[in-house]
Amino acid sequence: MKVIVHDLEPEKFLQAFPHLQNREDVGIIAETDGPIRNCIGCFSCWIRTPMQCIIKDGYNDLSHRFDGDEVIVISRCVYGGYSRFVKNVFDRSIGGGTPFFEIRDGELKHVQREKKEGESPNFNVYMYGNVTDLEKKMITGLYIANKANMGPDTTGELHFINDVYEEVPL
Amino acid sequence: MKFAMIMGSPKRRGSISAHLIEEMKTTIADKGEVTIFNALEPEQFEEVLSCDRLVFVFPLYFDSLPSHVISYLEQLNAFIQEHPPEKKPSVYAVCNLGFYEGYQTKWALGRIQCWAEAVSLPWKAGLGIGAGPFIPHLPPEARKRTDKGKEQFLQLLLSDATGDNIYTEPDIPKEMFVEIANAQWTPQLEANGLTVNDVMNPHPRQN
Repeated sequence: MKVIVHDLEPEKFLQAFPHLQNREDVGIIAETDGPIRNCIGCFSCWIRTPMQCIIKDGYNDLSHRFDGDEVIVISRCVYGGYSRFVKNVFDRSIGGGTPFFEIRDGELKHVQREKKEGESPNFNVYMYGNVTDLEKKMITGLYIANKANMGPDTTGELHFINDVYEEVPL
Repeated sequence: MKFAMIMGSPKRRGSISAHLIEEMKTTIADKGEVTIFNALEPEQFEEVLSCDRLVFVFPLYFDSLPSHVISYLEQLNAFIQEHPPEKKPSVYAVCNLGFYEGYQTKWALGRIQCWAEAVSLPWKAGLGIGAGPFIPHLPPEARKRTDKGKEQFLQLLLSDATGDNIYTEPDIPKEMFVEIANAQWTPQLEANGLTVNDVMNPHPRQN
């Protein structure tokens, strides 16, 4: 399953990449169901209804949707990180992991579900928009941290691009 | 001296960020006026920018800022572009996380630094507090490094000084911390009629 998360105008994105529509092997996560609400830090997706967010705004199943063997994130660079929507997808999908801690490569990480052992994704991030040197440094650190949190054998690369429609290989 | 504490946790109860703000407010009460703002309510920007110091206090969410804090920063940036402030308040940040290592907040604190750069306000320093939610429950001897880090940070804040980010860890072995942290979930799961197995092997997708 290929999962694409992006913060572009949803209609324009589908017009640019029509072959991605109505595919069972491709999931697209964009702000298509009205404004996404922010995570409220209640941990219900861990300890009350595992993998289900209690905020019923059309984005409550992100823990399931933001899960694939190939994950592609396309985000505007905002202050050295992801944009509001893309970051919200990460925040609202923490139920995809567990609340338990383990030490991995010397530092704490969340324990992953047993079925995911050895199934870490190929995780590629495409950052567009103006990026300062400081932002580049912060995004690079963030990407490495994200990768480590997504599983010990996560692969992929971080890309800084100018034009999503020309440079992202979809 | 006016301090703006910008609360970046969305929690209404039990927020460690709120606890840290109250702690700082108590400690610096005799040094100036502290006003608390909430990033969930992006308003009162004029009042925020009338302060001498801005302190963003937030939890680490997935290696970075909670998304609503990004939204707040963008709106405050837009306000600054439209209404350039007379003062140039100094910018500080405090981030706490559940993991042991305070340094895992580096990229989140860095985003506040990037924001400060974008709006041409002076970035000063950040504090990353490891094991944040557990610290208030640990005995004093296990909080020594954390307390020292907080003290160093407040010194920078009160003197308007620039410094390297400060990262703290609890004074207990990492392996012991993992055991303590993991054990605290069990009673919460049981209270909801769940077991560890329910978390590790959840029910199929329900919409």
